[in-house]
Amino acid sequence: MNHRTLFSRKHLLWLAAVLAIIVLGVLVIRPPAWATPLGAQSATHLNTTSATIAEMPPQQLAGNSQMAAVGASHIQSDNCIACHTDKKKLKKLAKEPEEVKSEEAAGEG
Amino acid sequence: MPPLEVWQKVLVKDKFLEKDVHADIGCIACHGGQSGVDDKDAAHEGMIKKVGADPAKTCGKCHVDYATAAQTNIHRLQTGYQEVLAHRGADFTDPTFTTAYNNHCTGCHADCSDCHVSRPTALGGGLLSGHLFKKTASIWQTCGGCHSTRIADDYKGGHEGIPADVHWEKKGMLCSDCHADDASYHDGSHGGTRYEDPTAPTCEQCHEDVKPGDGVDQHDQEHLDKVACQTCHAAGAYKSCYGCHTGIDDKGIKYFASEPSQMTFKIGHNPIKSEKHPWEWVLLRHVPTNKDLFAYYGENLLSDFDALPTWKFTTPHNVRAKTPQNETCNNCHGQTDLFLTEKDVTPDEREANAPVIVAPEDIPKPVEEGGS
Repeated sequence: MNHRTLFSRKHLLWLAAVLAIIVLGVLVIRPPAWATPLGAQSATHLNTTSATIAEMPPQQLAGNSQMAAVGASHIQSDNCIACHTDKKKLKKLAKEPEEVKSEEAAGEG
Repeated sequence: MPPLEVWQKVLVKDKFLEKDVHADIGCIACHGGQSGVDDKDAAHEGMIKKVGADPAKTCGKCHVDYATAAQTNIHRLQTGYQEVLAHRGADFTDPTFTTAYNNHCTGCHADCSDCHVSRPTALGGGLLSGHLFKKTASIWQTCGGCHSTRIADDYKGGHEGIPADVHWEKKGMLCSDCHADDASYHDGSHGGTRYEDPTAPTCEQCHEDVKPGDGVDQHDQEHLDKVACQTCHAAGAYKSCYGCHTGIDDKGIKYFASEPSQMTFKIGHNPIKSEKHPWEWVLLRHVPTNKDLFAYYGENLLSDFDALPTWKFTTPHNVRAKTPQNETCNNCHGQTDLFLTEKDVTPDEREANAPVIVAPEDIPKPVEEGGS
Protein backbone atom coordinates (compact mmCIF):
# COMPACT_ATOMS: atom_id res chain seq x y z
CA MET A 1 0.00 0.00 0.00
CA ASN A 2 2.77 2.40 1.04
CA HIS A 3 4.76 1.46 -2.03
CA ARG A 4 1.72 2.18 -4.27
CA THR A 5 1.14 5.58 -2.58
CA LEU A 6 4.77 6.55 -3.07
CA PHE A 7 4.61 5.47 -6.70
CA SER A 8 1.45 7.50 -7.22
CA ARG A 9 3.00 10.65 -5.63
CA LYS A 10 6.02 10.33 -7.87
CA HIS A 11 3.78 10.26 -10.91
CA LEU A 12 1.81 13.23 -9.67
CA LEU A 13 5.04 15.21 -9.23
CA TRP A 14 6.07 14.40 -12.78
CA LEU A 15 2.65 15.37 -14.06
CA ALA A 16 2.80 18.69 -12.17
CA ALA A 17 6.26 19.40 -13.59
CA VAL A 18 5.10 18.72 -17.16
CA LEU A 19 2.03 20.94 -16.69
CA ALA A 20 4.19 23.75 -15.26
CA ILE A 21 6.48 23.56 -18.32
CA ILE A 22 3.48 23.73 -20.67
CA VAL A 23 1.99 26.74 -18.82
CA LEU A 24 5.34 28.55 -18.83
CA GLY A 25 5.71 27.85 -22.53
CA VAL A 26 2.28 29.29 -23.29
CA LEU A 27 3.02 32.40 -21.21
CA VAL A 28 6.26 32.98 -23.10
CA ILE A 29 4.60 32.57 -26.51
CA ARG A 30 1.41 34.53 -25.71
CA PRO A 31 1.87 36.73 -22.63
CA PRO A 32 -1.32 37.99 -20.99
CA ALA A 33 -2.34 41.65 -21.22
CA TRP A 34 -1.11 42.46 -17.72
CA ALA A 35 2.37 41.28 -18.61
CA THR A 36 2.55 43.25 -21.86
CA PRO A 37 3.81 46.84 -21.95
CA LEU A 38 1.12 49.25 -23.16
CA GLY A 39 3.31 50.39 -26.01
CA ALA A 40 3.37 46.88 -27.39
CA GLN A 41 -0.36 46.31 -26.85
CA SER A 42 -1.21 49.37 -28.87
CA ALA A 43 1.23 48.80 -31.66
CA THR A 44 -1.54 48.85 -34.22
CA HIS A 45 -2.62 52.23 -32.94
CA LEU A 46 0.89 53.57 -33.10
CA ASN A 47 0.97 52.71 -36.78
CA THR A 48 -1.51 55.47 -37.35
CA THR A 49 -4.00 55.43 -40.16
CA SER A 50 -2.50 58.40 -41.90
CA ALA A 51 0.72 57.85 -43.75
CA THR A 52 1.59 61.48 -43.20
CA ILE A 53 1.50 61.04 -39.46
CA ALA A 54 3.76 58.04 -39.65
CA GLU A 55 6.24 60.24 -41.44
CA MET A 56 6.17 62.92 -38.77
CA PRO A 57 9.54 63.67 -37.22
CA PRO A 58 10.16 61.85 -33.96
CA GLN A 59 10.09 64.99 -31.83
CA GLN A 60 6.49 65.53 -32.88
CA LEU A 61 5.14 62.15 -31.93
CA ALA A 62 7.51 60.81 -29.33
CA GLY A 63 6.70 61.13 -25.69
CA ASN A 64 9.04 61.95 -22.90
CA SER A 65 11.63 59.25 -22.69
CA GLN A 66 12.94 60.67 -19.44
CA MET A 67 9.75 59.70 -17.67
CA ALA A 68 10.52 58.16 -14.34
CA ALA A 69 8.82 54.85 -13.68
CA VAL A 70 5.40 55.34 -12.15
CA GLY A 71 5.08 53.49 -8.94
CA ALA A 72 8.48 54.44 -7.62
CA SER A 73 8.71 55.41 -4.00
CA HIS A 74 7.12 58.74 -3.19
CA ILE A 75 8.70 59.10 0.17
CA GLN A 76 11.30 61.45 -1.26
CA SER A 77 8.70 63.93 -2.53
CA ASP A 78 8.46 65.70 0.83
CA ASN A 79 10.55 68.67 -0.30
CA CYS A 80 8.39 69.18 -3.38
CA ILE A 81 5.19 69.10 -1.35
CA ALA A 82 6.55 71.37 1.36
CA CYS A 83 7.25 74.09 -1.17
CA HIS A 84 4.34 73.65 -3.57
CA THR A 85 1.75 73.84 -0.79
CA ASP A 86 3.32 76.95 0.77
CA LYS A 87 1.61 79.96 -0.81
CA LYS A 88 4.01 82.47 0.76
CA LYS A 89 7.08 80.63 -0.41
CA LEU A 90 5.68 80.24 -3.92
CA LYS A 91 4.82 83.93 -4.13
CA LYS A 92 8.42 84.68 -3.28
CA LEU A 93 10.13 82.06 -5.41
CA ALA A 94 7.91 81.30 -8.41
CA LYS A 95 9.00 83.10 -11.53
CA GLU A 96 7.41 83.15 -14.95
CA PRO A 97 9.78 82.38 -17.82
CA GLU A 98 10.35 85.57 -19.76
CA GLU A 99 7.75 85.83 -22.51
CA VAL A 100 9.33 85.99 -25.91
CA LYS A 101 6.78 87.34 -28.31
CA SER A 102 7.81 88.54 -31.71
CA GLU A 103 7.06 92.11 -32.74
CA GLU A 104 5.91 90.62 -36.03
CA ALA A 105 3.09 88.65 -34.35
CA ALA A 106 -0.35 90.05 -35.03
CA GLY A 107 -3.98 89.09 -34.91
CA GLU A 108 -5.86 86.39 -33.04
CA GLY A 109 -4.45 82.97 -32.67
CA MET B 1 -10.38 84.62 -18.81
CA PRO B 2 -7.33 86.24 -17.18
CA PRO B 3 -4.18 84.15 -16.78
CA LEU B 4 -3.27 82.87 -13.32
CA GLU B 5 -0.56 84.49 -11.22
CA VAL B 6 2.62 82.48 -11.56
CA TRP B 7 2.40 81.15 -7.98
CA GLN B 8 -1.19 80.07 -8.55
CA LYS B 9 -0.09 78.01 -11.51
CA VAL B 10 2.06 75.73 -9.36
CA LEU B 11 0.25 75.75 -6.01
CA VAL B 12 -0.77 72.25 -4.95
CA LYS B 13 -3.92 72.09 -2.85
CA ASP B 14 -4.03 70.14 0.38
CA LYS B 15 -7.20 68.56 -0.97
CA PHE B 16 -5.17 66.96 -3.75
CA LEU B 17 -2.79 65.41 -1.23
CA GLU B 18 -5.62 64.24 0.99
CA LYS B 19 -8.19 62.99 -1.50
CA ASP B 20 -6.76 62.47 -4.97
CA VAL B 21 -5.48 59.00 -5.61
CA HIS B 22 -2.83 60.42 -7.94
CA ALA B 23 -1.11 61.97 -4.93
CA ASP B 24 -0.22 58.47 -3.74
CA ILE B 25 2.16 58.08 -6.66
CA GLY B 26 4.43 60.84 -5.41
CA CYS B 27 5.79 63.90 -7.21
CA ILE B 28 9.15 62.56 -8.31
CA ALA B 29 7.76 59.30 -9.64
CA CYS B 30 5.95 61.25 -12.36
CA HIS B 31 7.79 64.55 -12.62
CA GLY B 32 11.34 63.51 -11.96
CA GLY B 33 13.54 66.21 -10.44
CA GLN B 34 15.89 65.84 -7.49
CA SER B 35 14.92 64.76 -4.02
CA GLY B 36 16.50 65.81 -0.77
CA VAL B 37 17.65 69.24 -1.90
CA ASP B 38 16.32 72.57 -0.69
CA ASP B 39 17.59 74.82 -3.46
CA LYS B 40 14.84 75.54 -6.00
CA ASP B 41 16.96 75.22 -9.13
CA ALA B 42 18.71 72.10 -7.91
CA ALA B 43 15.38 70.50 -6.95
CA HIS B 44 13.96 71.14 -10.42
CA GLU B 45 16.94 69.79 -12.31
CA GLY B 46 15.73 67.19 -14.81
CA MET B 47 12.11 67.87 -13.94
CA ILE B 48 9.41 66.89 -16.43
CA LYS B 49 6.78 69.59 -16.52
CA LYS B 50 4.24 67.90 -18.80
CA VAL B 51 3.93 64.36 -17.61
CA GLY B 52 0.98 63.46 -19.84
CA ALA B 53 2.99 63.84 -23.05
CA ASP B 54 3.46 60.09 -23.31
CA PRO B 55 0.22 58.43 -22.17
CA ALA B 56 1.58 54.90 -22.52
CA LYS B 57 4.30 55.53 -19.97
CA THR B 58 2.30 57.56 -17.49
CA CYS B 59 -1.49 57.82 -17.41
CA GLY B 60 -1.72 54.55 -19.33
CA LYS B 61 -0.15 52.60 -16.50
CA CYS B 62 -3.59 52.67 -14.91
CA HIS B 63 -5.98 54.14 -17.50
CA VAL B 64 -5.23 51.53 -20.14
CA ASP B 65 -8.29 52.05 -22.38
CA TYR B 66 -7.91 55.81 -22.48
CA ALA B 67 -4.18 55.74 -23.04
CA THR B 68 -4.56 53.22 -25.86
CA ALA B 69 -7.20 55.42 -27.46
CA ALA B 70 -4.97 58.44 -26.92
CA GLN B 71 -2.35 56.91 -29.20
CA THR B 72 -4.53 58.06 -32.08
CA ASN B 73 -6.29 60.97 -30.36
CA ILE B 74 -7.05 63.89 -32.64
CA HIS B 75 -6.19 66.48 -29.99
CA ARG B 76 -2.87 64.81 -29.35
CA LEU B 77 -1.79 64.06 -32.92
CA GLN B 78 -3.65 66.89 -34.67
CA THR B 79 -4.71 64.54 -37.41
CA GLY B 80 -7.24 67.10 -38.60
CA TYR B 81 -4.50 69.63 -39.32
CA GLN B 82 -2.40 67.00 -41.01
CA GLU B 83 -5.29 65.75 -43.12
CA VAL B 84 -6.15 69.13 -44.59
CA LEU B 85 -2.53 70.23 -45.03
CA ALA B 86 -1.67 66.97 -46.79
CA HIS B 87 -4.76 67.46 -48.96
CA ARG B 88 -3.39 70.87 -49.93
CA GLY B 89 -0.11 69.28 -51.00
CA ALA B 90 1.96 69.46 -47.81
CA ASP B 91 4.72 66.84 -47.83
CA PHE B 92 5.25 65.54 -44.31
CA THR B 93 8.42 63.77 -45.41
CA ASP B 94 9.98 67.08 -46.47
CA PRO B 95 12.17 68.46 -43.64
CA THR B 96 11.45 72.02 -44.78
CA PHE B 97 7.75 71.53 -44.37
CA THR B 98 7.98 69.59 -41.10
CA THR B 99 10.15 72.35 -39.65
CA ALA B 100 7.49 74.90 -40.50
CA TYR B 101 4.75 72.63 -39.17
CA ASN B 102 6.55 71.92 -35.92
CA ASN B 103 7.42 75.59 -35.42
CA HIS B 104 3.89 76.92 -35.85
CA CYS B 105 1.22 74.23 -35.81
CA THR B 106 2.01 71.88 -32.96
CA GLY B 107 1.41 74.47 -30.25
CA CYS B 108 -2.24 73.42 -30.28
CA HIS B 109 -1.35 69.80 -29.49
CA ALA B 110 -3.01 68.66 -26.28
CA ASP B 111 -2.06 65.65 -24.22
CA CYS B 112 -3.83 64.03 -21.24
CA SER B 113 -2.62 66.56 -18.70
CA ASP B 114 -3.59 69.54 -20.85
CA CYS B 115 -7.24 68.64 -20.34
CA HIS B 116 -7.41 66.79 -17.05
CA VAL B 117 -5.07 68.63 -14.70
CA SER B 118 -3.79 71.83 -16.32
CA ARG B 119 -5.08 74.87 -18.15
CA PRO B 120 -4.21 74.93 -21.83
CA THR B 121 -1.21 76.93 -22.97
CA ALA B 122 -3.57 79.30 -24.77
CA LEU B 123 -4.77 80.44 -21.34
CA GLY B 124 -1.25 80.76 -19.98
CA GLY B 125 -1.08 77.27 -18.49
CA GLY B 126 -0.96 76.41 -14.79
CA LEU B 127 -2.81 73.88 -12.69
CA LEU B 128 -6.59 73.79 -13.11
CA SER B 129 -7.35 73.27 -9.46
CA GLY B 130 -4.31 72.76 -7.30
CA HIS B 131 -3.32 69.54 -9.12
CA LEU B 132 -6.70 67.87 -8.54
CA PHE B 133 -7.50 65.75 -11.58
CA LYS B 134 -10.74 66.42 -13.45
CA LYS B 135 -12.40 63.45 -15.10
CA THR B 136 -14.57 65.75 -17.19
CA ALA B 137 -12.69 68.62 -18.74
CA SER B 138 -13.75 72.11 -17.65
CA ILE B 139 -16.05 73.71 -20.26
CA TRP B 140 -14.59 77.21 -20.12
CA GLN B 141 -11.04 76.65 -18.92
CA THR B 142 -10.23 73.53 -20.91
CA CYS B 143 -12.47 73.07 -23.97
CA GLY B 144 -13.20 76.78 -24.18
CA GLY B 145 -9.59 77.66 -23.43
CA CYS B 146 -8.56 76.41 -26.87
CA HIS B 147 -11.86 76.51 -28.77
CA SER B 148 -12.43 80.03 -27.60
CA THR B 149 -13.57 82.62 -30.08
CA ARG B 150 -14.92 80.10 -32.55
CA ILE B 151 -16.89 77.91 -30.13
CA ALA B 152 -16.95 79.16 -26.54
CA ASP B 153 -17.87 82.75 -27.40
CA ASP B 154 -20.67 81.52 -29.67
CA TYR B 155 -21.93 79.16 -27.00
CA LYS B 156 -22.07 81.63 -24.13
CA GLY B 157 -23.29 84.55 -26.25
CA GLY B 158 -19.97 86.38 -26.21
CA HIS B 159 -20.47 88.08 -29.57
CA GLU B 160 -22.33 91.36 -29.34
CA GLY B 161 -25.92 91.17 -30.51
CA ILE B 162 -25.98 87.41 -30.91
CA PRO B 163 -27.66 85.35 -28.19
CA ALA B 164 -26.11 82.39 -26.45
CA ASP B 165 -26.76 78.84 -27.57
CA VAL B 166 -30.05 77.59 -26.14
CA HIS B 167 -28.37 74.38 -24.97
CA TRP B 168 -26.27 76.50 -22.63
CA GLU B 169 -28.70 79.26 -21.78
CA LYS B 170 -31.69 77.08 -20.95
CA LYS B 171 -30.19 73.71 -20.20
CA GLY B 172 -26.68 74.52 -18.99
CA MET B 173 -25.31 71.71 -21.09
CA LEU B 174 -21.57 71.06 -20.96
CA CYS B 175 -19.43 70.11 -23.95
CA SER B 176 -19.33 66.53 -22.72
CA ASP B 177 -23.12 66.30 -22.73
CA CYS B 178 -22.91 66.02 -26.53
CA HIS B 179 -19.25 65.19 -27.12
CA ALA B 180 -18.92 61.97 -25.13
CA ASP B 181 -15.86 61.85 -22.91
CA ASP B 182 -15.46 58.08 -22.79
CA ALA B 183 -12.64 56.17 -24.46
CA SER B 184 -14.39 56.38 -27.86
CA TYR B 185 -14.02 60.15 -27.78
CA HIS B 186 -10.26 59.81 -27.37
CA ASP B 187 -9.98 57.30 -30.21
CA GLY B 188 -8.85 58.96 -33.42
CA SER B 189 -8.29 55.76 -35.38
CA HIS B 190 -10.93 56.93 -37.86
CA GLY B 191 -8.20 59.27 -39.16
CA GLY B 192 -8.81 62.60 -40.78
CA THR B 193 -10.77 65.45 -39.30
CA ARG B 194 -13.32 65.47 -36.50
CA TYR B 195 -16.15 65.31 -38.99
CA GLU B 196 -15.03 61.80 -39.91
CA ASP B 197 -15.43 60.60 -36.33
CA PRO B 198 -18.31 58.09 -36.27
CA THR B 199 -19.01 58.99 -32.64
CA ALA B 200 -19.31 62.73 -33.34
CA PRO B 201 -22.65 64.01 -32.08
CA THR B 202 -25.59 64.80 -34.32
CA CYS B 203 -28.65 66.91 -33.56
CA GLU B 204 -30.90 63.95 -34.34
CA GLN B 205 -29.47 61.94 -31.46
CA CYS B 206 -31.57 64.04 -29.09
CA HIS B 207 -34.06 65.69 -31.45
CA GLU B 208 -35.43 62.49 -32.91
CA ASP B 209 -38.90 64.02 -32.92
CA VAL B 210 -37.93 66.44 -35.70
CA LYS B 211 -39.70 65.07 -38.77
CA PRO B 212 -42.33 66.04 -41.32
CA GLY B 213 -45.61 66.78 -39.60
CA ASP B 214 -44.05 67.79 -36.30
CA GLY B 215 -45.80 71.15 -36.48
CA VAL B 216 -42.92 73.12 -38.00
CA ASP B 217 -43.69 73.99 -41.62
CA GLN B 218 -40.04 74.01 -42.67
CA HIS B 219 -39.51 70.49 -41.31
CA ASP B 220 -40.80 68.99 -44.54
CA GLN B 221 -38.75 66.17 -46.06
CA GLU B 222 -37.12 68.39 -48.68
CA HIS B 223 -35.74 70.83 -46.11
CA LEU B 224 -34.65 68.05 -43.75
CA ASP B 225 -32.86 66.25 -46.59
CA LYS B 226 -31.20 69.28 -48.13
CA VAL B 227 -30.49 71.75 -45.35
CA ALA B 228 -28.16 71.19 -42.39
CA CYS B 229 -29.78 71.99 -39.04
CA GLN B 230 -27.46 74.91 -38.25
CA THR B 231 -28.30 76.63 -41.52
CA CYS B 232 -31.71 77.47 -40.09
CA HIS B 233 -30.88 77.34 -36.40
CA ALA B 234 -27.60 79.25 -36.00
CA ALA B 235 -28.64 82.41 -34.19
CA GLY B 236 -26.43 84.74 -36.20
CA ALA B 237 -22.93 85.46 -37.44
CA TYR B 238 -19.90 83.53 -36.26
CA LYS B 239 -16.20 84.14 -36.63
CA SER B 240 -14.19 83.74 -39.83
CA CYS B 241 -10.40 84.14 -39.87
CA TYR B 242 -8.14 85.25 -42.69
CA GLY B 243 -4.59 85.61 -43.90
CA CYS B 244 -2.38 83.73 -41.45
CA HIS B 245 1.34 84.00 -42.17
CA THR B 246 4.16 82.33 -40.30
CA GLY B 247 7.84 83.11 -39.96
CA ILE B 248 10.86 83.71 -37.75
CA ASP B 249 11.83 87.29 -36.99
CA ASP B 250 15.28 88.97 -36.87
CA LYS B 251 15.70 87.91 -33.25
CA GLY B 252 15.00 84.29 -34.09
CA ILE B 253 11.52 84.30 -32.53
CA LYS B 254 8.84 82.25 -34.26
CA TYR B 255 5.63 84.08 -34.95
CA PHE B 256 2.39 84.00 -36.82
CA ALA B 257 0.38 86.98 -37.93
CA SER B 258 -3.17 87.02 -39.17
CA GLU B 259 -5.49 89.60 -40.65
CA PRO B 260 -8.44 90.82 -38.57
CA SER B 261 -11.22 88.29 -38.11
CA GLN B 262 -14.75 89.00 -39.27
CA MET B 263 -18.18 87.92 -38.11
CA THR B 264 -19.78 86.17 -41.07
CA PHE B 265 -22.87 84.13 -41.87
CA LYS B 266 -22.68 82.36 -45.20
CA ILE B 267 -24.69 79.49 -46.62
CA GLY B 268 -23.02 77.47 -49.34
CA HIS B 269 -22.80 74.09 -51.00
CA ASN B 270 -21.66 71.26 -48.76
CA PRO B 271 -17.95 70.47 -49.33
CA ILE B 272 -17.96 67.26 -47.25
CA LYS B 273 -21.05 65.45 -48.46
CA SER B 274 -21.30 62.00 -46.93
CA GLU B 275 -23.83 59.65 -45.38
CA LYS B 276 -23.43 61.51 -42.11
CA HIS B 277 -23.45 64.96 -43.75
CA PRO B 278 -25.82 64.51 -46.69
CA TRP B 279 -27.19 68.03 -47.03
CA GLU B 280 -26.74 70.35 -49.99
CA TRP B 281 -26.95 73.59 -48.00
CA VAL B 282 -24.64 74.12 -45.03
CA LEU B 283 -22.98 76.98 -43.20
CA LEU B 284 -19.44 77.89 -44.20
CA ARG B 285 -16.64 79.58 -42.29
CA HIS B 286 -13.43 81.04 -43.69
CA VAL B 287 -10.32 79.45 -42.21
CA PRO B 288 -7.07 81.42 -41.72
CA THR B 289 -5.04 79.39 -44.20
CA ASN B 290 -3.81 80.87 -47.48
CA LYS B 291 -1.38 80.08 -50.24
CA ASP B 292 1.49 81.92 -48.53
CA LEU B 293 0.96 80.42 -45.09
CA PHE B 294 4.45 78.87 -45.05
CA ALA B 295 6.08 81.10 -47.69
CA TYR B 296 8.80 82.13 -45.22
CA TYR B 297 10.11 78.55 -45.28
CA GLY B 298 9.94 77.87 -48.97
CA GLU B 299 8.01 78.23 -52.16
CA ASN B 300 4.97 76.19 -52.96
CA LEU B 301 4.95 74.14 -49.76
CA LEU B 302 1.18 73.82 -50.17
CA SER B 303 1.51 72.79 -53.79
CA ASP B 304 -2.11 71.76 -54.21
CA PHE B 305 -3.67 74.55 -52.20
CA ASP B 306 -6.79 74.76 -54.33
CA ALA B 307 -7.70 71.13 -53.60
CA LEU B 308 -9.79 72.26 -50.63
CA PRO B 309 -12.02 75.32 -50.16
CA THR B 310 -10.96 78.02 -47.73
CA TRP B 311 -14.63 78.36 -46.80
CA LYS B 312 -15.15 75.15 -44.89
CA PHE B 313 -18.13 73.27 -43.48
CA THR B 314 -18.93 74.57 -40.01
CA THR B 315 -21.34 73.97 -37.17
CA PRO B 316 -21.63 77.18 -35.13
CA HIS B 317 -22.47 76.64 -31.47
CA ASN B 318 -25.04 79.43 -31.24
CA VAL B 319 -28.13 77.34 -31.87
CA ARG B 320 -31.65 78.65 -31.21
CA ALA B 321 -35.07 77.40 -32.25
CA LYS B 322 -36.06 80.80 -33.68
CA THR B 323 -33.49 82.72 -35.67
CA PRO B 324 -33.59 85.70 -38.01
CA GLN B 325 -33.27 83.49 -41.10
CA ASN B 326 -36.03 81.05 -40.14
CA GLU B 327 -38.57 83.61 -38.96
CA THR B 328 -40.27 83.55 -42.37
CA CYS B 329 -39.60 81.63 -45.58
CA ASN B 330 -38.38 84.73 -47.35
CA ASN B 331 -35.97 85.63 -44.58
CA CYS B 332 -33.85 82.97 -46.25
CA HIS B 333 -35.28 82.42 -49.73
CA GLY B 334 -34.03 85.09 -52.08
CA GLN B 335 -31.65 86.61 -49.50
CA THR B 336 -28.55 86.81 -51.63
CA ASP B 337 -26.41 88.22 -48.82
CA LEU B 338 -26.85 85.08 -46.76
CA PHE B 339 -25.27 82.95 -49.47
CA LEU B 340 -21.59 82.67 -50.36
CA THR B 341 -21.38 84.10 -53.84
CA GLU B 342 -18.38 84.89 -55.99
CA LYS B 343 -18.20 88.47 -54.76
CA ASP B 344 -17.54 87.19 -51.21
CA VAL B 345 -14.41 85.35 -52.32
CA THR B 346 -11.11 86.96 -53.29
CA PRO B 347 -10.07 86.20 -56.88
CA ASP B 348 -7.04 84.15 -55.80
CA GLU B 349 -9.29 81.84 -53.76
CA ARG B 350 -12.13 81.39 -56.25
CA GLU B 351 -10.76 78.21 -57.76
CA ALA B 352 -10.36 76.59 -54.34
CA ASN B 353 -13.88 77.60 -53.39
CA ALA B 354 -15.61 76.74 -56.66
CA PRO B 355 -17.34 73.68 -55.10
CA VAL B 356 -18.97 75.76 -52.35
CA ILE B 357 -19.73 79.08 -54.07
CA VAL B 358 -23.41 79.53 -54.86
CA ALA B 359 -24.31 80.76 -58.34
CA PRO B 360 -26.94 83.53 -58.26
CA GLU B 361 -29.40 81.33 -60.15
CA ASP B 362 -29.04 78.59 -57.52
CA ILE B 363 -30.12 80.76 -54.60
CA PRO B 364 -33.57 79.55 -53.53
CA LYS B 365 -36.20 81.86 -55.01
CA PRO B 366 -38.60 83.84 -52.83
CA VAL B 367 -41.83 82.00 -52.17
CA GLU B 368 -45.35 83.07 -51.48
CA GLU B 369 -45.47 83.31 -47.69
CA GLY B 370 -47.28 80.42 -46.10
CA GLY B 371 -45.74 77.93 -48.51
CA SER B 372 -42.19 76.62 -48.68
